[in-house]
Amino acid sequence: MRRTLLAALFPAVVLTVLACSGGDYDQKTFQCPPRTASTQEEIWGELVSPLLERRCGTLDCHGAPTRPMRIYGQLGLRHPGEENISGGVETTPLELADNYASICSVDPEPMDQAAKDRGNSAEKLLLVNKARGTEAHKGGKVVNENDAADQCILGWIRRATYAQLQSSCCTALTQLGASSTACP
Amino acid sequence: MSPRALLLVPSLLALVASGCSHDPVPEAKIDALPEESGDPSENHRPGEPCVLCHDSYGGAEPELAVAGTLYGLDTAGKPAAAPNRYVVIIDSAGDFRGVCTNGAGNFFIKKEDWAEIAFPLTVQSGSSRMRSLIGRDGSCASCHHLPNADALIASTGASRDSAGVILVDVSQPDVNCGAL
Repeated sequence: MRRTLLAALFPAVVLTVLACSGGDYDQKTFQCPPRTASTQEEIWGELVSPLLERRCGTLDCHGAPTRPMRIYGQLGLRHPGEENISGGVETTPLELADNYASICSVDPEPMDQAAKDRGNSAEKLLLVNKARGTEAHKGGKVVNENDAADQCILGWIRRATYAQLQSSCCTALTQLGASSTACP
Repeated sequence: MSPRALLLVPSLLALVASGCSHDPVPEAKIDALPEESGDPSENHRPGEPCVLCHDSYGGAEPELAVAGTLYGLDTAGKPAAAPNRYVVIIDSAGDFRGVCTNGAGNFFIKKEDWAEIAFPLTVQSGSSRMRSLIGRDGSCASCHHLPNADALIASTGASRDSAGVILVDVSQPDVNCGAL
């Protein structure tokens, strides 16, 4: 009886010891498309984040603190480390940095791959497919394949030039009744 | 299966069905609403998220597509209900609805009157135009909170996650809602 009990408990004991040992896991680093164009203009803060803030970051969608892929912004959720109100001052550098981290970490391995292959695998990303509605998305389809907003997001991942991104992102922003300081 | 076991089947099915209809997210929000004061009517619960209950989950009648409460600032600088104000809601398909606020500042559009509403929405009342889009929640008060402990601007309720109550200019009467 005693031997049977020990035999039954042994796997549980081993599992507990392994679980508590922590392990020697290396911290992985994931790449993400850059915030600046090859010519050093700020594309994230001037073009891509404004579109995501406008279309995705409303307080009832990704601007809700309980939702994944949290997006901060002037007209949406404000950063908890700052004393700004929704509708107040422009989106801050801290918020832009957190938006970048949020988008990059939604789908880290595929985003890493897309950053390495300069966007050739971008159409596998949740960011792209949820927006297109080809992946289940509570907010439904928010862009059409190859429309200005889709091109803005894909263009950032595929390292489009500043001028190309300015064209697509500003067109998308205008269609949504918004603009950016970078838009003519 | 014995006849006694068969008798248990409807009970089990009912139990499963009731379990499936419970969504903890809206349920928690409904539970957090303050007690009703008076009887439910078109004027009840101003500044609270109407569609939370007036939808297929909440079960309150009528089911609503969009609803909210408008305020103006009184002489003391505090929000006060803004009755007889015209609100225009435009959807992303270009369709729109216009409605006047009632005595409590409340307005609403029934689901049956806008079944094909296409989010995101934009909203305008008089010279006030909402600067952001409405992504998918028909309750204005889900984001436009009444003043509470989290408010950074106590008079309007504006905070990190809310622009505060919906303020409109009430200095002039609105000709679209009965004023001549």
